[in-house]
Amino acid sequence: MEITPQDQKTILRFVERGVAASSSKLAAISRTVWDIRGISLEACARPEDCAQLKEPSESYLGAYCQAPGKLFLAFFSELSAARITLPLLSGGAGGRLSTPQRREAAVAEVANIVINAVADALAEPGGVAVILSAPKCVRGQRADIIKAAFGNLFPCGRIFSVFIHMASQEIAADCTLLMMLDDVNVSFLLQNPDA
Amino acid sequence: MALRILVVEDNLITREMLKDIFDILGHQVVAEADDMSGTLSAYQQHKPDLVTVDLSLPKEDGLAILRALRQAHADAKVVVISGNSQQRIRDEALQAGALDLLGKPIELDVLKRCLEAVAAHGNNPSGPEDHPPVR
Repeated sequence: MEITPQDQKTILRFVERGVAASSSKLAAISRTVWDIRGISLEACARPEDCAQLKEPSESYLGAYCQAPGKLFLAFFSELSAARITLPLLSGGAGGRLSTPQRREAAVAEVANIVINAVADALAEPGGVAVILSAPKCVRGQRADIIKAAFGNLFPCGRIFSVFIHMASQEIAADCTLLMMLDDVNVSFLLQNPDA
Repeated sequence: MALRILVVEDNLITREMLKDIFDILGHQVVAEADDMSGTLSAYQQHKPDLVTVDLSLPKEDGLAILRALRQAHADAKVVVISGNSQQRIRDEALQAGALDLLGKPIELDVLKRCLEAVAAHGNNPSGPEDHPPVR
């Protein structure tokens, strides 16, 4: 499937709606303001072909959720994860767990909320109701996290990837969202471009 | 009226946060579960006044649990708490008998109003199906 520049604009418009909701939810969780720094779309055959993944990588905490033909990931640098989850953990929630386990559980919940805001915005124009899988938390370099999450979700065809970068200057934290859609999901999305 | 609550949620941090919030609001979590069989057996054992259910769970999704619970216990009062706010999902949840769908992150005031409505609801013998959503 090929998408035209007009199709790209349509997809990005839907994504922008979701990202606005997502950054508001991130703000509510971390109690600070988040800016959307960039949104980009690319089509590739395999996740490792995505240009965005070829940048130098540090260690990240990430969590991903799936549905058929869809993969959503949220990445936080270790420092960002600590700063974003601080309000969730400061009350002592999950005190029975070790510190890394508490942080991973908190990151999974933050990712769940942030990812669902974007997934919701894409589900509405596609005319489908989507319940994503429970988030799975992973630690490592971004490319490794994506390969682990990618699994056998997309057996063939092109993948349409959208990268979203958000940051909070106040707490010096950032969040990258990556969503991957197969041809079928992109077709659904483009069925109703005026939604 | 203090509610006895069954929390169906897989994330341990969120479970703990919900327990803290319910405690602050004067309610009590009597059991926790993260799948359908655990929910059904906990409900049978504790007969809670309210069940809160997340949608994205490791085994069955929250809607499937809601339907199974309401099929087994038509008087079960269920509130869905989820990051998912799609209108179609909301409609399905209410149609399946949920009293409400509350978004995450949880807003204390919204949750408090919902619990107050559920507590008031407890005196209504007609059950939840006549009153969705409660807020």
